[in-house]
Amino acid sequence: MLTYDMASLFQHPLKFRARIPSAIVTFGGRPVGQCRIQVQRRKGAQDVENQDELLLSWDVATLKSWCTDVEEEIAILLQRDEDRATRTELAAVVVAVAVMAHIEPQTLFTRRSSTGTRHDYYLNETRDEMIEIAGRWEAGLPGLFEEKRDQSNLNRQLRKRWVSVTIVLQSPRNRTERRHP
Amino acid sequence: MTGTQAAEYRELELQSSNLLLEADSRLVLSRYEEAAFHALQAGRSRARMGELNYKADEWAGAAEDWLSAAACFLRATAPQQAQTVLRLVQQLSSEGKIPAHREDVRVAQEERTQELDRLRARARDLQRELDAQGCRPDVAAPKAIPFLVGRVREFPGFWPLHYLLFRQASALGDRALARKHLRWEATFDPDNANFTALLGFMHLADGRPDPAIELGSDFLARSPVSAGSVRVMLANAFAQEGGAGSRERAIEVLRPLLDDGGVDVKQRIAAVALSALFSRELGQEQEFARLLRELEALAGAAPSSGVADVIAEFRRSLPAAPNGQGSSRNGGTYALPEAVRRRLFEGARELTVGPMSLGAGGP
Repeated sequence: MLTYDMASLFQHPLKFRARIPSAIVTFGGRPVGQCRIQVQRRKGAQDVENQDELLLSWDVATLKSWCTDVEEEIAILLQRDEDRATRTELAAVVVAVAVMAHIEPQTLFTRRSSTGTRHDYYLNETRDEMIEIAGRWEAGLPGLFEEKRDQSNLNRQLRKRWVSVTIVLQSPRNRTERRHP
Repeated sequence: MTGTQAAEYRELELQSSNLLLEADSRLVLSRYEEAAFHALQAGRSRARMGELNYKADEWAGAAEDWLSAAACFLRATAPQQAQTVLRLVQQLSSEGKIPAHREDVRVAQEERTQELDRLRARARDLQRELDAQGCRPDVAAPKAIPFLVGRVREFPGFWPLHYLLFRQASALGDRALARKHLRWEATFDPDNANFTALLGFMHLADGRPDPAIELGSDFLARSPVSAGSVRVMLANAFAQEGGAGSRERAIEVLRPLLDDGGVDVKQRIAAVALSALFSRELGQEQEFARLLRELEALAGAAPSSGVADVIAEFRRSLPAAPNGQGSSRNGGTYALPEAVRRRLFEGARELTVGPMSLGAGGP
């Protein structure tokens, strides 16, 4: 099993740390927590799909020393269900960064793209290495991964990695869950 | 790319990526205006990246960056900026400069164009709704505010919405809401002289001339237009500082409005009245008399009876002859009574930044 502490996000030049509140809330919203996440990945368009399990951990008290607003932002996110699909995708990016830290530790995320899909990144300061990331609740957004792959295949010259994150260990929360444990 | 350009490109690449990451995080927090602002800034960075690629004859890269900029501008609900960069992509495309194998660029170009069309259609729908609700800048309508606030999520960077909210909140006495949306309208339309002037007047109302002077000076440094409302605001700010030097700076900043015959008549009237005030206070008697005569001449050209009334008020506030009556001596200058000065400044402000039509500069 792969392990990753969200505090490591602060080592990236890209501000993935801005994703931390969304990830924590997506994975349960506890101040200190761990979450097992299923990840499907392919190293390239022609490669076979691999399955991984990631244990993502966090401690808000530690994160606060780098990001003073993290607690407040988690509290806001716990109170609202709007834009939950976006929040799930933001959490998926955190998972993708965590997985890549294990399987390609030298690979750098260097640019956020937005010509096609919204959550894709260029790697290693190149214009032909990319990573495609899809995040969804189990059975929540069927076909999303395939749709993103079709969009990406419009430019076949890219060297692409794929990471698809399926959140299966949590039920989608509702607004009152925290008030009625 | 040259070494310098490549370094600038890398810096913009990182900066714009981080701005987009920030935009996402603000969006899920319901901080819609902040999200739009970050997206707008990211779009500007990506537009510059497109320029750098274009200069380096990297056509596909330029198209990619400009399409990315368009996506950012559309997220920011900024249709004019999106249109500008999409035209650049269209030009590259029509010149055959995008390689045939870049199907992704062609598809993205179509998508962005359709998204721009949809944004414009939504903006037209919004305008119709505003009309139906009776939301106008010059008429206070209590029901308008909840309606307008409810549309911010869909149009977070759409300055006409923030302008209406500012006007409505001002008219109904909700100063905090008015200030919030005044800041956003000036942020999302930074080239609009009236919004910059309004923001400057807000600083002056707080007794803070320094940020008002900085704001107005920055605007004049980058704007080729006469920007009468900004000049009137700046003159007001200089006057708030006090002293002969500040009055001279105020006259200097107003001078282009006096010298240029093509200036909007309301702005010219305000500039003449304030210049007369400062000339009077500096003891420049001949100039004061000349400006009074000009003010009288402008009364005949006033575009409306309301403007003529303001000129008459100016004339009543300014003494007919520089005899020192009603003024006090202060370090080589004469200061007119504060109530008189306030009436003049308020009149000048209303003349230059009063309610404007949303048709001007709208989407």
